[in-house]
Amino acid sequence: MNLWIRLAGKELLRNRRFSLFFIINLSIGLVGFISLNAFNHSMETHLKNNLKEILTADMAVYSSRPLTPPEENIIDTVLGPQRHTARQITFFSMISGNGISRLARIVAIDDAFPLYGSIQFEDHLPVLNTKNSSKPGHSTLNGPTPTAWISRDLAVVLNVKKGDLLGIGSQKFQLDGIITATPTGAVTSLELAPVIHIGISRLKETKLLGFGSRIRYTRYDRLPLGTDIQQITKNLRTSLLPLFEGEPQINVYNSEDVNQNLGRVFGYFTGYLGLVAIVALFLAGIGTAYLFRGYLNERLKEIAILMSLGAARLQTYALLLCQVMLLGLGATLVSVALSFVVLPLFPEVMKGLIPPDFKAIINPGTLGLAVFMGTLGSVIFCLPVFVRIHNLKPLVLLQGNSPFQRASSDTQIPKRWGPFKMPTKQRSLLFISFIPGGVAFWGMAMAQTRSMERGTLFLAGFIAVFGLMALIGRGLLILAGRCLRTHRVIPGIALRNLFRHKHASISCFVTIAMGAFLINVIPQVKNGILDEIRQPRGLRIPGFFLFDIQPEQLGPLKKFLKEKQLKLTNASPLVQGRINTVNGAGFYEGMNDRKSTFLSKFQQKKSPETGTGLRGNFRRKNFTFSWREKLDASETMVKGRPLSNTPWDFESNQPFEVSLEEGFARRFHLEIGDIMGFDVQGIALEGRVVNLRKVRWNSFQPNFFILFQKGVLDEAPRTFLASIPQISAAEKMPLQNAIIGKFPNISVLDVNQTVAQLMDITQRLTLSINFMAWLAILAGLVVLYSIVRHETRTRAWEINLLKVLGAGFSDIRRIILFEFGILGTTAALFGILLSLGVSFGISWFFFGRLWHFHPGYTLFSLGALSMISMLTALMAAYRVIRQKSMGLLKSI
Amino acid sequence: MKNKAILTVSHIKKAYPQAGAIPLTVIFDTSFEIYPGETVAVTGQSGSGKSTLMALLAGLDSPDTGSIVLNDRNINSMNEDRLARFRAEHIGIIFQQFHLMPHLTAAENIMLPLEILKYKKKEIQDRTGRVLEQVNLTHRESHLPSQLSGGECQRVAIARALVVKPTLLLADEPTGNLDSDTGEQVADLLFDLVTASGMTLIVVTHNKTLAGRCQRSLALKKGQLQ
Repeated sequence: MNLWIRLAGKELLRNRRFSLFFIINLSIGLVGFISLNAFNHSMETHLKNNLKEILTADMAVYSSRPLTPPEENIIDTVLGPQRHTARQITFFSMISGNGISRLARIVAIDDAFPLYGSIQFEDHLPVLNTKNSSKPGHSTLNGPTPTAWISRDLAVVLNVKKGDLLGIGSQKFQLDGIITATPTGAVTSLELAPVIHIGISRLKETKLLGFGSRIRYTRYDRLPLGTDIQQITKNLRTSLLPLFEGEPQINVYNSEDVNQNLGRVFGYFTGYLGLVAIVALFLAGIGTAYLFRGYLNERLKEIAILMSLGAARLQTYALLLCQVMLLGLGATLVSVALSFVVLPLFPEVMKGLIPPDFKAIINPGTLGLAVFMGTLGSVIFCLPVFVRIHNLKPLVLLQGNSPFQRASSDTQIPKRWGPFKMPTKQRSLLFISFIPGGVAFWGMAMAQTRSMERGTLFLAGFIAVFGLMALIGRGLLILAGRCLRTHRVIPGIALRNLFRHKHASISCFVTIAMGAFLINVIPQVKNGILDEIRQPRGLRIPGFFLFDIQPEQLGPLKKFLKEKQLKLTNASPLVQGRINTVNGAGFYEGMNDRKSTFLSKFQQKKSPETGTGLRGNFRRKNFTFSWREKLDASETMVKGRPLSNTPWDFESNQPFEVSLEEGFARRFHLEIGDIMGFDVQGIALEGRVVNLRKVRWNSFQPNFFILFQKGVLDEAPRTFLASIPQISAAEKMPLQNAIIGKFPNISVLDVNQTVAQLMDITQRLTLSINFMAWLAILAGLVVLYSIVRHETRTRAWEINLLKVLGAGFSDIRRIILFEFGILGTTAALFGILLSLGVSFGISWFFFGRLWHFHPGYTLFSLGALSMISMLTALMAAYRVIRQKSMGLLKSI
Repeated sequence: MKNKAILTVSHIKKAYPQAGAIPLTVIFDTSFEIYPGETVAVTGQSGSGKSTLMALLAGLDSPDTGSIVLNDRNINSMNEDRLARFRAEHIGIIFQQFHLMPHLTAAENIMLPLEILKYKKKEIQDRTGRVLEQVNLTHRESHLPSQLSGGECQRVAIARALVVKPTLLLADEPTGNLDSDTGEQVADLLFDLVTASGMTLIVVTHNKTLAGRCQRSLALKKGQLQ
């Protein structure tokens, strides 16, 4: 075996250029994959190690109302006497400080919070309890004076410092500390509004807990070490069910649920990135196989010599395998080294979306996977090429039998060994050799998407795109063949070269087209979404979005705004209630029996609300209902008839009319004509679905999944949502301050700030996806380089002949430029056209037709890819072009 | 002449299929025997079947009918791997184009068949040193083929063929790629070494001078022995 390793090493060293290209090519393909895997693994490890800290407890019970004594009793009994309990109440409200107001998330905590982890302050001082109060530190929030802790961001926005007063509702709180990290904020700092912590005992003094405020009450419990948390969770859920007659109003979570939820969110994102990384790896694989094919052509003679000296065929395979694996290992090392550069970029790109203290590292598992993929992957990529030596016999070394004497120094495999002219057995072997690659690709797609269905769908889509591009490439070559009779020399020769080297031309075409497709499809989708968020077509996004408006405040608020020459728009009532039944069956239980389409099934899979299993008993049944005189500009009826303008008669014994948002109807398999049973504040009501609406949520206007007929909710307790049209930036803060000065319980959301935040996140996520896409392009360019280099070397004698016949270096250069200019431009064009089609499809399917054509980026990528293709080809062919014809003649 | 033939070729026939045409027969019903220590030239014009016969004798190709028995072993009945091993042990081949491994030095090229046959390191070194001396290339042992002249390359190829001490040495136009002076020197060396070692040599050539140095000639014409 030593002999073969030594021979393999010597040959690779002698063919440094090939070895280098092989390693660079494969490492480009691997780097995205390895970085992503390391990021995923680091994230999983981080979450796993910090689950309790993220939840701040072993278990949490969430409710939209205070827990009742019977509920508390059941929880206490199930969890046992050795538990430690903490409580938290959260809601959104306006806060003010230093003459500036801001929407904030109020987090009211008791002194036991957090049960795991700790709150970190800018001054690094601890929270003091009564025993160590003489030391420097932060007083508890439930002490004798009202105090608050806020984040650094909020302190900057409000321009406040320690000791300043902050207004929350009717109470003033002294700022006691600036928080740098909280256990709950350990996962993501992405929030609709910044957080302010106050004591739970101070909440009443704010007078913010009015009717209709959307408040979340949380009870946290820490259990003794060694407790089976999953079993306790199961027991608690089961014990609570009888209280709600099988329809619970509270949710029980443990740290595993947190892990699943977070894992799912990151899974979607990294899954998509992973798929792009697979494409990059695949393109790199094509390049690898092409490079190896060229190398093998040159090595055939040496393999034949070894066989003539007594080497068994298996030993020659072993020699080549050894070489491929050594190169794969080299590529792995390079890609791991590159990953050290790429990996730190992930936390930067995803800043705000991942834990601030998160560090991505390359762990031994990733390293092992990298070595496995580098070595085995390179073998899989090169496997089809191995078939070419299956019929090689040392006979070719004899005078008169040698194919090596036919052409240049670049030895050719005889035509009878070409893939399409092989004997049946060899052709079968060739097809079999593709199977491991196909299976590996499929497996990787399934692993990335964490779903067999989606992985298969991706593979099918990929094959379809690949096949389509190959067909288009072939069609264009046929077209090129018809143009061969052109009288212009350079285009004629270039087209002939393309036409007569079909496999190389199609490989280049498909590779560039795939790259063009990848770098265009995501930006096209993103641009459409961003345009729509920034400025929805035909709509004006409001300046402020107001919520928690009490009915008695509606009139004064309108009057107040009128005095400032402003108008309160789209004031919409908001009533909380539940959906109990649909067509007589339970809302969730009967869902599978209801009519469903492929689309709804797909949407259902995406929705965590419709999950199954134990958690299924705790699925959402509380919804918000509203009604309105006429539809808003941001919504259109897409099916059915409008809601009746006649107020519903409670005594009529007829179901009232219901309008549903089309996505909501699809997700829960609801159709026009379905009878829905509701519970509104304890009153059972029945409604019939009469229409479906399409809502443009990006309008930032008050909109609802479920609208009732006029008159149904007239007597129900409610709050209002409303909006205020755009005003100048200078007017915003004074208006916001004035509103909360007069109506402290009303929350005001600055829509522009939210839009900016959404756009920032979208941009950053797109950036990371585009990074992978550009990796794919880079891999594609290496493929192009490898192919062109190989082709120009095999055509060296032809180029030489042209020179002998009078063609200058510039003519040869123009031929190459024309040939690969045509190839690059048409491939990029068709890749871009396909990306436009697919991005339109994605936008239509997932984002409700939010698709805008951006000619700037499209034209840029078309031009850039054409130029890059030409330059790459020129670089690859440079050596042959610059060689003197005498030197080339010698090689014939 | 010895009594027992070292190589017995019996009624071999070889034809190559041709696309859309009847197979082209290159060797017709051919039989002959070669005895130990003999030097035999296979001569004939281009296309007479010399190289095909050489390929069949070396076990690089197999006849359609008939048998080739070397050292009492029918080489046509062996599978590919056994034949490769048998060839390594019993047949030395010298090619017209030398066919040295370009990335190995002269000494490494000579060592290669011994390494394939898994000889012990010391024996490999001893044998290599000896044959390098025999072909007068000790001073060039660490040179790559690209640093050697044509004559030196062919001497390395001869050394490589001789190093395993084969029963049969096959040479395919061994001086065909060399100028006449160098060719003569290489031929002298080849015949001296063969004579000294008592090996059996079959030379395929259309060079009459080279053929004349052999004890016997087999003339091929259109695939048949004359």
